[in-house]
Amino acid sequence: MSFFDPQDKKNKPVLDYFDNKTWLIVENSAQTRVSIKKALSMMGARNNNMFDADNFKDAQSIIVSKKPNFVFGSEKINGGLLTSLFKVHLINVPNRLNAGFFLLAEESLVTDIALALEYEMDGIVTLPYTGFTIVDTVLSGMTNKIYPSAYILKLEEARQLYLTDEKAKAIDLFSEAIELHTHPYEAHFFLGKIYEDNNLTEKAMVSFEESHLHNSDYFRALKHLGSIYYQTKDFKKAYEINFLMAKKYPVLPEKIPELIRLSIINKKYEDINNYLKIFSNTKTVKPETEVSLAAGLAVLGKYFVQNHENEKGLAALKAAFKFSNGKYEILDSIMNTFEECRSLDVLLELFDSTDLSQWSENIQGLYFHTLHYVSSDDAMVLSTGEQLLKKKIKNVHIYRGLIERAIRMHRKIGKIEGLVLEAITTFPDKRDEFEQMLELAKKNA
Amino acid sequence: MSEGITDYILKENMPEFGFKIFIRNETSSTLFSKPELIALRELKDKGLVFEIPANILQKGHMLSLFFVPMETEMKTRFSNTGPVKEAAFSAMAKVEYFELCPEKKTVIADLLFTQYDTVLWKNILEQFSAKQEAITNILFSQHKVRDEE
Repeated sequence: MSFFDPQDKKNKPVLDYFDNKTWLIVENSAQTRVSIKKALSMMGARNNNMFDADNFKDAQSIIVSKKPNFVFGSEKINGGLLTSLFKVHLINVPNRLNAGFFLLAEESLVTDIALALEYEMDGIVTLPYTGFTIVDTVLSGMTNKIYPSAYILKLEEARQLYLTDEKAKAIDLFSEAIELHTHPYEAHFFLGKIYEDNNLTEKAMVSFEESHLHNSDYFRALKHLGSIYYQTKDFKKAYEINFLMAKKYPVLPEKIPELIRLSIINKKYEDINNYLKIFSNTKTVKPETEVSLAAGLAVLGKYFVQNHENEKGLAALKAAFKFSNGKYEILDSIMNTFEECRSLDVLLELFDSTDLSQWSENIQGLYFHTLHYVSSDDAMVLSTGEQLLKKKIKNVHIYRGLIERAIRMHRKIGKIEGLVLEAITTFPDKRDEFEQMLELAKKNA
Repeated sequence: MSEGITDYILKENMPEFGFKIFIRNETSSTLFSKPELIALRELKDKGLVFEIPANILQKGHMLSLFFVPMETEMKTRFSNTGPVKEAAFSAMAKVEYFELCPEKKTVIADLLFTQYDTVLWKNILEQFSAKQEAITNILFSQHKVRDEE
C-alpha cells in the first residue's frame, strides 16, 4: 500500500495536472460519491469541477454536454451499464492525454477486467475500496499522461485524430510515433485498427503482428490477431495466440465455445478431455456464463459423438442442457446431437425433469420433437402437439412431428391436408418440405 | 506433456480473498447471519461502509461485527453473546450514516469502529490493497516494455 502525500514536492505535477480537470462521478449512492470525491481531491481534483450522476441517462447527457475529462463510476447504474458510455466519452473527449475512464467493479470482475483491457480503460477499482486504492489506481492509469514521453505525446495526438475520424492524418502521426520508441507496439496496433476498420485484412494482420512482435504481452494485439487468424481460418496460429492470452489474462466466458472449436480443429486431445472435466466440476456460475459454458459443451458433445465416444458425448450434452437456461439455439443443437447418437430418450428424461414453463414457449417445439421420436403412444403425442398448437405455440417441429405422426397413423387425408396448409401459412419458407410430406401422405393413404 | 489452453482457462488471476460478516445488533438485540446479503463497499481507517438489506439496523445503533474468512466454515452457532471463534477480526461499531437504496430494498451504512484491534484491521486493509494491486497489475504489466525505456 503506497501513500500519496500531496505536500510532497515531487507530487506537484500530479496536483497541477488534476487541478483544472473536470470529473463525472457516476454512482447510485450519494455516500459513495462523496467518498470517491474525497479520495480524488487528495490528488488535486477540485470539488467544484466534479459532476454527479446517479443514473445512466444523466451520465450520458453530462458526458455529451459538459465533456468531463474523467469518468469514474460503478458499472451497474440505474438504467444501464457504465462501460457502454466509454465510447461516448472517447468521442466526446478524444484528447485522451487529458482524459480517463475508471470503473468501480462490483461483481463480474473477470468481465470488467476483460472490458477494461479491450477498451484500454484507465483503471478498475474493486469493491471494497479505500481512499488509497482509488488514489493508487488513478495514479497507475494516469502516470503516463501526467509525465508523457515524446512517444506518448505523438501517440495520443495520433489517437485523437483516429477518434475524430481523421484517419489519413492519424496514419501519418502513428508512423511518426513508431520512430520515437524502440517498441512502438501501440502505434503499430492502431495502424492495424485503421486498416481493419477499412477491411484491409492483410495489412491489418501485418500491423497487429508487428505490434505483437514488439510486445508479446499486449492484450489488444493478441485479441485482434486471434480474431483475424480465426476469421482467415489460420486455426493453428489462432490457437497459439489464444493460448498466450489465456496464459496471461482472464478468459471471457463467451470466448469458450470458440476456444473449444480451436482445440478440436487443432486436435488438442488433452484440452478436449480437460474441458469436459473442468465444466463437469463447475457448480454454480452466473446465468450469462452458464449459457457460454452450455454452448461450449454442446460443441464438445458433438465432437465426442462424431468420434464415437458416446459416453463422453452424453456427459457433455447433459451438462450443456443443465447450463442452457432454456436458450433455444443451444437446446436445438444439443437435440440434433442427441438424435445423431440415437439417444433422444435421454433428452426426453432431461426435459421431463425440467419445469419448461420457466423457459420460452418455443422450447416446447424441441420438447415435442423429442417426444415424437421417443414415444410410441400415438394418442398422447397427438394430443400434446395439438394442445401446443391451440396455445398458439408456432414452432416448425410441432407441425413436422404432427404431420409425420398422422401419416404413420394413416389419419384421414383431409385432416393431414389441413395441417399442411396451416404449416405452410405459418412457415412459408418450408412450403416445399411440407408439400413433399403431403405427397407422401397421399401415397400412403 | 505440452501445455494447452485448458491449463489456464477459468483460472484465478487474482488472490481469492474476502470475509463473511456476521452482525449482532446490540441496540435492537437481534442477529444477522446472512453474510451473503452484505456487500462491503468501502474500508476506512476506523470503520467501513457496507450495503445490507433494509430493516436490519438504524442510525445510532451499536453493532458487534465478526469477520469470518470466506473459506472458513462456521462450526459453532452464531449466538446472542460472546465472541465468534472463527472470526479473524471483530469490532464494536456505531452506525454513523444511513442511506436507503429503494430499488434494491437495501441500505448503505457507514460504520465507525469504537472498539477494535488496530493491527488486525490494518492487516485486512493491506490484504484488500494487495488484491487491488493484483488487478492493476493485470491491466498495466503489459506496458512494462514501453514504460521501462
